[in-house]
Amino acid sequence: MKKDVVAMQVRELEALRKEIERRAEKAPRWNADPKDVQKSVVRLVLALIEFLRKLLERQAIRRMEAGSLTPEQTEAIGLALMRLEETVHDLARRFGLKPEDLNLDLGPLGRLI
Amino acid sequence: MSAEKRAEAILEHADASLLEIIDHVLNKGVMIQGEVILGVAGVDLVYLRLNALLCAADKLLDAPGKK
Amino acid sequence: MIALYAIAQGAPPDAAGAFGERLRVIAHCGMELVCGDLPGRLSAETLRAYEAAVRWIADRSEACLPARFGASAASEADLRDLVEARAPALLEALALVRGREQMTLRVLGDLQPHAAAGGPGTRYLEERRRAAKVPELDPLRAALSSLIRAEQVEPHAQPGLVASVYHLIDRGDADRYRQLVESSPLEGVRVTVSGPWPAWSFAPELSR
Repeated sequence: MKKDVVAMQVRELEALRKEIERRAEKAPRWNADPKDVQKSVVRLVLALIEFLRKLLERQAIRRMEAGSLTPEQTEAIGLALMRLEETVHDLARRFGLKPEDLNLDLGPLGRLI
Repeated sequence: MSAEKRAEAILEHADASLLEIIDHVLNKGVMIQGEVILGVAGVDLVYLRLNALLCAADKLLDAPGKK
Repeated sequence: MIALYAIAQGAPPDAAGAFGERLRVIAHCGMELVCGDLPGRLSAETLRAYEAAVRWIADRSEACLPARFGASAASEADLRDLVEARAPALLEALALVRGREQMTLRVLGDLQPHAAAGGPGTRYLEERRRAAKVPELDPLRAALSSLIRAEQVEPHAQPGLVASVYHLIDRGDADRYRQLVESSPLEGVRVTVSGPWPAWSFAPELSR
């Protein structure tokens, strides 16, 4: 069981690494307007955090369903994820980013893994 | 017509069967790099499409789902 | 540039594309890559024609993974590389969809706020779990259990539209599936069915 969890995490981390590479390739190499640069950096950072948050959320749900979390752990993880989601969306809003802007592009339809 | 306008026009005039087709061929399937056709559309087809699907489904409430 | 129509096994050699062009079948890694010309532009006719072409291929193949409209590669060599990199996942998906087709459910309504026990963190996780699983459909799943070979859920969280649920069934079971859906009452949500379709939602993404 432990080996599977590790294998799964390795796969997911690899997916994240690939996504970072892809985003870095797409990021503008120069930009005249410092505000635009800031916004695109913020967008990249928040999108990556969103990616991680959704990964962690999926894992937490899996463990919750498998019954391998105590009630205290469930509450703690749930709270942490909920707060992280709020923070990310707040920050995004402040920079004029919509939730859709933080979705990783798997294609023009901007869906999540 | 710009690509965006074209995409919007397609969705605006799509009947329920075309919407279902759009949702399947644009949303899923083996995905590989190469948004040559869709990349220029620039329209977030997901949200438009799903809203349109919902309206179509509601209109069809009394008709048996057919394909 | 070449357009990918489908990745299949036992595909028909004489398939036609969205423009009536003869499609090429490239054999690679135990799979058949069905290829044609890129659609020139996005239009209702092109989308319909593409879907019809993929459907024709899927109906006559032993196993078929449809490619998303617009899926393309710079060259045959590139396509071979992409396929090779994901060969295990693709072969696994082909084994799953062999002799099968897809039914699509749209789940309409709104997610009911669920009175869950526990603190705010627990309730939050439970709400996320429900959004990902759509347990409102469980009575339907029970009725369909003998037919469902695999399921994919796409949560939408849009007002009025809860999720899309895709079921893989054996070829020939579509009528029975539809009957069972129409005769299974649901609480809080309603569903519309379409299908059978080629197995669009059971095809993996190729690496970039």
